[in-house]
Amino acid sequence: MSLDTRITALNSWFLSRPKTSGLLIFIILLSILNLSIYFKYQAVKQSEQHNMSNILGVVKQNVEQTLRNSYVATITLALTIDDSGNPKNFEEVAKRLVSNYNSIDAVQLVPNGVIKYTYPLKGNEAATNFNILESPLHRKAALKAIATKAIYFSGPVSLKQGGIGVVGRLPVFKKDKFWGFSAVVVRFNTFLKSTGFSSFKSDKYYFQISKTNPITYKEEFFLENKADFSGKDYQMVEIPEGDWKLYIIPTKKSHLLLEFFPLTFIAFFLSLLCGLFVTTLLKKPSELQKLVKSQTLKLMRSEFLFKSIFDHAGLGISHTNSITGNFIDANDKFCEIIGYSQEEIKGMNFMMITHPDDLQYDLDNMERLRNGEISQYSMEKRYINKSGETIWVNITVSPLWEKNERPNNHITIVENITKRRESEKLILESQQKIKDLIDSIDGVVWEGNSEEPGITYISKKSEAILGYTPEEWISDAYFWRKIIHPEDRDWVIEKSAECARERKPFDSEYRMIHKNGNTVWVRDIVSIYHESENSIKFRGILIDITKSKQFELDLNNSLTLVTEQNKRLLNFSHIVSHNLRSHTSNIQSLINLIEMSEDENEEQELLALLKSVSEALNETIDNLNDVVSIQTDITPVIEELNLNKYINRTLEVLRDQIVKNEAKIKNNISDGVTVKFNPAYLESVLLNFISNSIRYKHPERKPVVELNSYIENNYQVLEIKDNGIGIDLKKNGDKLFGMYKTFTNNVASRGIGLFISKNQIDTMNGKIEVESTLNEGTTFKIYFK
Amino acid sequence: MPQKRIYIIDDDPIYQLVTKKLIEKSNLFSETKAFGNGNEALHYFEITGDLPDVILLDIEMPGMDGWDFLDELLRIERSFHKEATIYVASSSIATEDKIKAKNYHCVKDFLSKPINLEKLKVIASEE
Repeated sequence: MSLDTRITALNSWFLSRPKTSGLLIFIILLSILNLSIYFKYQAVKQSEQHNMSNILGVVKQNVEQTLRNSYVATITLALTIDDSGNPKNFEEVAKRLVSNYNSIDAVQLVPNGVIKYTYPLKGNEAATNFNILESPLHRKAALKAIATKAIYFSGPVSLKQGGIGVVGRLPVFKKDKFWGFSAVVVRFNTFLKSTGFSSFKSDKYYFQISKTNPITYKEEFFLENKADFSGKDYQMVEIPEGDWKLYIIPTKKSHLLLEFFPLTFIAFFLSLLCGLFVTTLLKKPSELQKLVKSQTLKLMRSEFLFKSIFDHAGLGISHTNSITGNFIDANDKFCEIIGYSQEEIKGMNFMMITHPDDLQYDLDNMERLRNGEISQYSMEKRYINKSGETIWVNITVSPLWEKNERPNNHITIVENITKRRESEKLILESQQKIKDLIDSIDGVVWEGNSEEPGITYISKKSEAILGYTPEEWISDAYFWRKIIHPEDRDWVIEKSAECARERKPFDSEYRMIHKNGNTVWVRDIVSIYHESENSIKFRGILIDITKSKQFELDLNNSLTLVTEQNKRLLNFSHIVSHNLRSHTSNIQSLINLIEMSEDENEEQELLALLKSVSEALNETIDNLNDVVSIQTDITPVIEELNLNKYINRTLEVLRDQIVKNEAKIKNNISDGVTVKFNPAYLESVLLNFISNSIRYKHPERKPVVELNSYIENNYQVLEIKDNGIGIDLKKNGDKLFGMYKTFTNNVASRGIGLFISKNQIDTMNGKIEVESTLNEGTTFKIYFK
Repeated sequence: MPQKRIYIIDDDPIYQLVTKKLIEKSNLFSETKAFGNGNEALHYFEITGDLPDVILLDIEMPGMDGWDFLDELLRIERSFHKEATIYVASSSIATEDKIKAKNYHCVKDFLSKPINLEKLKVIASEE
């Protein structure tokens, strides 16, 4: 770990522990401040001590000066003593001494301890002759002076002459024999004055002088303020000449500490403040640092996550330079897809592996991405892998630059969709197969559902069968109903709607109109498929049944024809049985009667009857011949005949009847109208119908016959309208064209005309229809093919 | 047993004539009459109230045919409280006519033409 990192670590350590750091700052600051206060305190204290000791030194010198003066004075005085032990010029010397030394109040000569000489005497008379060696107060001090053979000061004591003073006694020996003392008396006041106490007097200190009491051995204090000062910061010097102790004592007990206490207090607060400040100051960064730490952790995690996604994703991911197309990085999957290694890829660009057919589109997209026209793009394209195989992929390209930034790199996510493509191809192929299959079905396959009108799918066959393309069908929801044959439309729509409603399959045959206008018969088979509860699907197939329908129609026609023929045959057999039998039975009866007859006249009569029966039989057989000839004449000659020409010929034949009945014939037929028919049949038919119209005239009016001709459904129609008695079609409709069917009592009706006409028209593939109202008239319509 | 009266309804004049002659010769019936069609007969019945015991009825007739006649006859019979026994006489061999005839209660039998003596005897002897 380098220094920097250590500092960073330390920093972060502190930054992360604001309380500890605050406490630390507090302690350190407090220690420093207190230490400096302590040093200051020591310095002040020392200077004070020093000051005191100086003062005490001066005082001591002053005292010693006094003592020296006293010593000099005692010696000087002692020198006045002559060998005989008598002082000479005492007065004079003493006087000079006392005046010279202000500190000396008086001088004495004390031979053998008795005060004999005193100067000045005045004021000290009481001391004269005082034996100090016998005074308990002075004896000890005197003896000590003798013993030490040096000056010794006693006192301060009460003086014999009054007052308090200090007495210095110098033992004087004459011829090695104790003579007495030479003494100085210093009054205590003078003594104090000489010390110079007064000049040092201040509030700060006071002085004290003490001496051990020779009797009590207790230290005695001589100045004011004798209070115990042992606790105070005093200083002391000893003066051995008097066994004194000089004290200098601070007036007050040391206040220094007290004086420094607020400072300490301030220091404490200052430190506390600093500590708190640091704490709060550090707290923010600490929180920030915590945040940074957690964010960093998150970032690291997400980076790790992305890294692992990138590395282990199931999708190929490449990091590519958007300008050059060079790969910067790619994950394993990407390498696996395109078959190149990581190292190889880094020297390649995406253009190199993109299929040439897909490259331009990819480059175009990239261009648009770079220009900011699109925010990303996805496309399916092909890569050519290392082995040269085509790999289908779906790529999603996302830029790594922000909007308004210069394009730099992008991420491409690559999904291998080759398998999907293959299966899609298979599906497409199978779909195509199914489609081809459907299109090859010889019918229009379609699909629709219940939710929307119209169809959703229709096979191509619709074009072949009905002429309309699937697009035309799909584009119009009502296309189907529009191309249904108008005659079938209503019922088909109704039926299909009903089937859809009841969810029943639909299977019907109806006609549709081909795009070219032709009628196409279709069979429409519709099945129903439930897709969900509410929606159903319809699937149907329209099969072109025009041909089979034609066959069916032909067959039906043939059947009708055959049925008709059969009917005619049956009719014929009835005719044979009835009409012939009626004649034969009559003949039988007549012969019977003739046999039974006994009367000749009667016989003749019966024979005449027999003859008429035979004639009638003959006629009937002729009629039957006519019918048979029509029935058997399979291919009668057909010619194009002018209708009016034949009508006029018929009217000529009927002229007598027309005149007789005053009939009016209205022929509205133009001259050019022709019909294809057999000439003989046409003659017979016209004669039959026109004569009928006159024959069955209404008794109350003259017959009017109107002839018209027009084209209807490819038939040339001849309409013959009369105002005759009419026919009750309800009752006789089915018998109308039967043989020997007559409906009137008209004697001329034979019941054969219509039968023959019908047969002739049928043979010519025509048809005949009739409309009639009783008492109003009848209209016959003859349809010529 | 008194002889029955027998009427013929047929559009064939020769049949009418011949059958009438045969009936007369047979002496089996007290009276006989012939009508050319149903309408004629009904008209006569309505006016005269003369309903016979037996009717020989033809089916194939112009205008009103045999069946129509039967329907009308029933109506008239109810109003006269008389009942005629009907014999359908036809030259037809169509079975459908035979079946149809059986649906009419008043139709006693279906006879094929010609009507001869044996058939008349049976009709006369029937109750």
